[in-house]
Amino acid sequence: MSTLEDAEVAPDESGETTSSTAVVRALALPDLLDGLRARRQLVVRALTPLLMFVVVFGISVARAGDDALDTQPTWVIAVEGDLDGARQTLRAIGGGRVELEASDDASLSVADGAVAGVRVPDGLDERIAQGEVVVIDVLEVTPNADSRAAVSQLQAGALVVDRDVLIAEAGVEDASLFSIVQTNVELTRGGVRSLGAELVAAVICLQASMLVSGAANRFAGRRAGGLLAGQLLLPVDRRQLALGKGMAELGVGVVASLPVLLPLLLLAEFVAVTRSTVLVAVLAIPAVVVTAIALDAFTTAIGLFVGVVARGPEQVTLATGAAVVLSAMVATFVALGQVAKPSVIALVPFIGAVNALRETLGGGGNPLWLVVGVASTVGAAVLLVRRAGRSFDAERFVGRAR
Amino acid sequence: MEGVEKSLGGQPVLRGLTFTAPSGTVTGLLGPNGAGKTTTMRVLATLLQPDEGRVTIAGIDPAVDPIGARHQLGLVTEEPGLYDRLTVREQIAFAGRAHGLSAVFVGKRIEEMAELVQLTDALDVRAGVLSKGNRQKVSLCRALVHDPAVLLLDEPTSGLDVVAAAGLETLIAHTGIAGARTVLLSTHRVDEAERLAERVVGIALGAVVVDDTVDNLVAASGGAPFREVFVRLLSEATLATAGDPTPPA
Repeated sequence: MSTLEDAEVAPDESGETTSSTAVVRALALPDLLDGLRARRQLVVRALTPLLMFVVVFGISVARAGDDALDTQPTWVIAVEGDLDGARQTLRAIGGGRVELEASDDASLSVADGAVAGVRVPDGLDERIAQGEVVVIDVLEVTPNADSRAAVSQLQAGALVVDRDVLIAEAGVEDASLFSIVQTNVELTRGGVRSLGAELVAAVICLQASMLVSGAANRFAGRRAGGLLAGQLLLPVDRRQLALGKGMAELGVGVVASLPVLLPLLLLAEFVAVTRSTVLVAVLAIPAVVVTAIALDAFTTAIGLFVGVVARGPEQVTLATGAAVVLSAMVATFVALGQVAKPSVIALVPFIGAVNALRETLGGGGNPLWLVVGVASTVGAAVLLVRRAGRSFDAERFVGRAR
Repeated sequence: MEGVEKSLGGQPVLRGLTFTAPSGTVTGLLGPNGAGKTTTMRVLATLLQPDEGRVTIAGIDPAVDPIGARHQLGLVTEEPGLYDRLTVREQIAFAGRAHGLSAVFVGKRIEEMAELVQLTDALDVRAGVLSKGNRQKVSLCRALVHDPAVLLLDEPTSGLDVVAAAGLETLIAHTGIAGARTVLLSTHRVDEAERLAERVVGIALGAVVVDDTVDNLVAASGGAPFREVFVRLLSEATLATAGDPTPPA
């Protein structure tokens, strides 16, 4: 049997492991493999952002609808059919907040800019006065908060007219004069483009937020389990060790995001090809990929930094929870929000990249701002990793116990 | 170690610690809980820096050349610190590659060490499913993959059952493990130190109170059992140290 004494330790003749890149790669590999083999964790990290998106999207829609009701004095409603014979009823149910506009094709008018549309039968006012049940088609653009608000107003107004007319004319209270058929005409070019851009930007924002807790918790766990102490004994620069761990977490995060990212890429490209310009069609996939990686790098760096500087699991939990909440706020107010932001916000890491991606995919922004947003985000990630590397101090990790 | 002092959280833990662990022998670092054994091992492992004093590892001062010193060190701790989802082979290979060894050489080395510690059949098993005894064997292989001049063993048998602990002790005593290198075994178990160490360094309250070979200590006490001799010396020194803030000579 051969023994250790027989084994001669030979340096690597190729010199491969002497380069900084090779060292970082060698340090990243075990963390990467370990992370990729944690399949249940990967599934959770892939699905959680989707669940969060449902909540964030719901909040965003509700908030946008409230804003529209509070701030919009009137809405332009395209009316297809006998407008003169319906004017009194439509004004009544519009509650004084609608401006009626005749249209040969209400759905086309909505696509061209009307907030909502209605199709009315001949002699609507007269039929209502006689207590006759009438059918009104209402056309809305679901992603458009103004449109949803206008339609809500028409529905609410119809209930009031129901009550007034029925009580006055027939003494009946439990029947309806209106049969309102609601139709979503959101498949307009602008509507789809806007919705697609919002969805892509919000989901990759939430996806990236998962990396904070992943990186911080795994680092803290390895620190507590004694694995890190052994690695601090390796004959490498500790900044390289920090970088290797950061690269591994980034790799795991990107892989975890693939089940969500790939459909998003297809969606972004489909929307860009069918509803946008050639420039956006060319840029869509690279823009989403580069932005996603930049956001992932930034959140991984935050997670690593938290894992390094936190004094215990409680601080890790607090910091990662705060990061997820902040990401959800960015998704709500930047990716899904209604108010246009100045493009110069691209200089702000993370937020700038999310906003610029949304603008680019929506066809309304200059792609150069996306470059700025990605650069500021990656730059901030590099600074965070360097800072974490400086704090990669064994005294901090093992100095408490005797 | 020469005159090493170290405080943690404002409390002095090591007070002028001085001792030498010669090469080619197993030196036992003995002491009660809280004596400063783990801090001593961490200072030697370059994980902590001494506030005062000097450490030399295989002729290298880690304060001057920390990476060079780490090339000479292998460390096994009470907690093996393995990746649960990596195989035994991958764990050891990672350590070897991080020490700058070629993939071919590391592969050969893994086979040799696995044979030595009887882990050949488990080389492609993930560490998460191994017994704690086998995990410590993996930790030992990982510490030795680069053939370090100094092997630090910090309570390596703590938490192991009797059979696993005996197996690990046998391995530590094996010439293939100890060989010509310096082995420093930190333990609070006197019987373990007696079985494995030729020389013992006893510390209490962060200072050396005993530093001699087992044979000399026993002979000087007229042939009394080593456990009895050591406990008596430690008690006397502890009382003296507690009554006098300056460390004993």
